[in-house]
Amino acid sequence: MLFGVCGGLGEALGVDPVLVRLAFAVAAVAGGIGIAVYLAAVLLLPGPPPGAPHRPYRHRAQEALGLGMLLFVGAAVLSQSGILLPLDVLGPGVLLLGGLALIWRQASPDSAPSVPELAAQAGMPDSRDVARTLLGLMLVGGGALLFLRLGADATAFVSAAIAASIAAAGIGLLVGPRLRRARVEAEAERGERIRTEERALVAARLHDSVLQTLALIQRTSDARRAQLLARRQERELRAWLYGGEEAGAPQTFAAALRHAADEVEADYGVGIRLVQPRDAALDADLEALVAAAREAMTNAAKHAGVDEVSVLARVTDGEASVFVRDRGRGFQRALVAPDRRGLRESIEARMARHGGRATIDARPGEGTEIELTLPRKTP
Amino acid sequence: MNRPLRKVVIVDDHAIFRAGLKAGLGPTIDVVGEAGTVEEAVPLIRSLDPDVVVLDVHLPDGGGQAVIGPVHAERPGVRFLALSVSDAAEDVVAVIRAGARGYVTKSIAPDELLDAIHRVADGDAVFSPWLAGFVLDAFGSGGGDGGAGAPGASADPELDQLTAREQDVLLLIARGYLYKEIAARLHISRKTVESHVSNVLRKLQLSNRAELTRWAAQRRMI
Repeated sequence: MLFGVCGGLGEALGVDPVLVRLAFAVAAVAGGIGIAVYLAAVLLLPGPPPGAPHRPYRHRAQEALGLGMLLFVGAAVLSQSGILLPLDVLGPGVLLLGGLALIWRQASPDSAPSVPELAAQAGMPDSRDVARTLLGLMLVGGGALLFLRLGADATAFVSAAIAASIAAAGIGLLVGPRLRRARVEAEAERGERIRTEERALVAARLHDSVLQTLALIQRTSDARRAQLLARRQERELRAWLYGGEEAGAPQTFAAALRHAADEVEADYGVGIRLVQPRDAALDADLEALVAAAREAMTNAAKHAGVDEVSVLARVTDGEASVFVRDRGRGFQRALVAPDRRGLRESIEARMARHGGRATIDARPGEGTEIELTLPRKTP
Repeated sequence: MNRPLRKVVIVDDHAIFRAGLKAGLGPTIDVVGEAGTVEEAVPLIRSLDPDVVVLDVHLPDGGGQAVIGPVHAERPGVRFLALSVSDAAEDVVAVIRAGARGYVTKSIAPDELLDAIHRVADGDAVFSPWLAGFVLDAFGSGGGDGGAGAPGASADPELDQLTAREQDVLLLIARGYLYKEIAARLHISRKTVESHVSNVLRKLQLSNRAELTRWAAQRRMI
């Protein structure tokens, strides 16, 4: 209002400035301490931040008028009762509050320094800070001592009460801003650490996967092999970027099938083009379907003599199906040796156990398609 | 194969990818221009008037549909083939509904891409196995009469469902069959296969079926 002390303090403490002003007015009335503190604060406290908005003049005038009236009434009461500024209270009070103001000003972060600056300050406080804090503490201590010594005369009760409340406030002022500053620093540091860790994680991941693969591709003269490496890396990276599942067993049908396809691709050097529009939660039946599909993909990769296998996985409300197709040499069922159990056991029998079926469409010279179908109980 | 020379513009924000694409297309494709942004692409297409624009679904200053929008009406002869690495189905559907004649993934083999460009230039629709599988899923799996009375259906109910034959064709595309293989398997001509796919494209572009939007919003192509 006069110098903006009340408003500034109110803002710094998170209290309505009107309350601060009232407190000052009461302190001013009860012995003049308020006036002394106000003057000390004007001298010691930092100015408002440059960007701070100015409040409309009308409000300030209104408040000034109100406070003026309060002061007037207070002065009237004082002159009536004859208790006018006892020096034994005013003196130590000024000392004490001056000290507190000094400490507050030095401990409170009045501008927001950047993170490295804060970290440097936390590590090694500069000597001016220390001197100010010491001076403040000395003033506070002196004020408190004076209060105690003067505590024996007539105004003992009032003085002791004031001293106690001021000491409490002083502790709050001393500790509060430091705690706040420490917290701000800790949070900034934590944020920085998390960012650094994340960056390190991504870097490690890319190094272990993409960079290794790129190095491998550069040394590979075989275009076919380079293509497979690139495709495998692409799938891995994509699963990491969009899949969100870092490790552990796949949780859904689509993820499980992709996992199986990736392994077959890696084991036999055959590209698998997987199309799976809709996903479903993995249950025992769908697990069996994935296992059968994996066997079908493996067969195609091993026997068809092709570079690429197409796989479509369809989930509808009534059933789930997987089509595994290659354009390879195909085969004739009758010519498959009876001891080759993959088709019969791992595919046909497995599907039958789960209430499904396998249809094999193999044409010599035209390729093979295995269709696996499973009814679904739940939609 | 005796194919006419096609004028092509490539729109993709990765210069390396454009260079690789250009190198792999062979003598029947004349890449007359390249652009990396929507802002560059629109005036370039207007001035060059190519047969086909190979268009990335994702561009830094807007989706591929931002390129198709201003050009499509004034130059109906320019055809768009959308292409992407990995995008939300929403984006792919947006580009197709804006007027693209087809969609393929960037991992497509060079000869297949060449084939796709020529087919799009001829006015045919090009569906990758992925798109076929997803369209099949989006239009529901009921038979030819399925999907009737679905909420948000279009004024023309024919647009909201696929015929049994169209579903057969889409299913085979999704399973990895080529058009000529589909023709042989279904005992129809290749031209008939193409007309089925074009019809599906038209339905995809014109249908207001609510499932289509919901489906596209939920799915990411991986």
